[in-house]
Amino acid sequence: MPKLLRKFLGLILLVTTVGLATCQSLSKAEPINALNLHPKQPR
Amino acid sequence: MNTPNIHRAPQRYIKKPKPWFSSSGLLLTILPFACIPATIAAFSKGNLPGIIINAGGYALFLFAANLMRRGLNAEQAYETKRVTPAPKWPLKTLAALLVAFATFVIAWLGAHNALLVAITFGSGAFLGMYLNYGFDPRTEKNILGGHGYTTEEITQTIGEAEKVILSIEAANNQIRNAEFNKRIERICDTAKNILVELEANPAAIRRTRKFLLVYLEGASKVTAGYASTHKQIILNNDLEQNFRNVLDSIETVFKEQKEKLLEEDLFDLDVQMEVLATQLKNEGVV
Repeated sequence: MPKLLRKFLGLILLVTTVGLATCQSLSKAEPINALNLHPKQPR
Repeated sequence: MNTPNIHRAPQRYIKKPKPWFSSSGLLLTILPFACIPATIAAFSKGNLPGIIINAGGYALFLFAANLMRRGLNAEQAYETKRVTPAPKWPLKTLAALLVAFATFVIAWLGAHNALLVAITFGSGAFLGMYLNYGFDPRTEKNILGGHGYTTEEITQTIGEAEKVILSIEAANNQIRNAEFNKRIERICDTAKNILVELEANPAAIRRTRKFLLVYLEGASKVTAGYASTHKQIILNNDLEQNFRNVLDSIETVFKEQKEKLLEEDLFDLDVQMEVLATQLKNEGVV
């Protein structure tokens, strides 16, 4: 595989995995009760 | 049959100065940048696990970037040398493992993905690191028939000589005399070319041992001595002339040494070197 193509694929994979995982983590950085003492009651 | 004689035309040895900024490993600092606002959000909402996961994850990525930068530097040094052992630590591989682990943890505990999905994230990051950066070189580079010298011995001998050349260059930077600066630069260039020649032809190490151990060191002491005296007092003409004579002699011996190496002449330069040694003492510079 040509070096440039290999590097490009690597970049795409890194952006997809690392970028997506951290962005998902940001979107879910909402207040949660770590000890789960008062879970929300479903309506 | 004509075989290519690689050590007839040595490449000029150039030790690159450490750059003030290197972009290698920068990607690993930028990509997980979302961890910072995620940590701030977790702080503002009192989400302790969120703080630990996001801040810890980003710290892991930064550490991996640091390892990758060092691994890439080690690889570059490995590529430029003809005789060298493999890098001691597999830093690039360690960085890839760290990135995979950090991605897995953030995808699982930070983004609340299922375990298998998080494992896929981690594996993808590891594969991405391999494709983008590759892993560390693990084979030692050696010249066929090391003439009785191991790779470590050759690398150590040349490495020590490189350090002495660097010290001569450092002393030269303190000397404020254009003529001497040029002469010392020429001497250093010749010495560097001799090292390139040695790298290609380790058999010559035995013949040049005296040059490497005594005369390179001598040149370093002379230059450092002149640099410090030069800073402290106004030199009289005699001392300057003495230093000029010594530089002349060093330059001649170094050039002859290089020519002998290129000619593969077994006649060593003991006679010329003894003359230089005596002169160094007589001139009172060493």
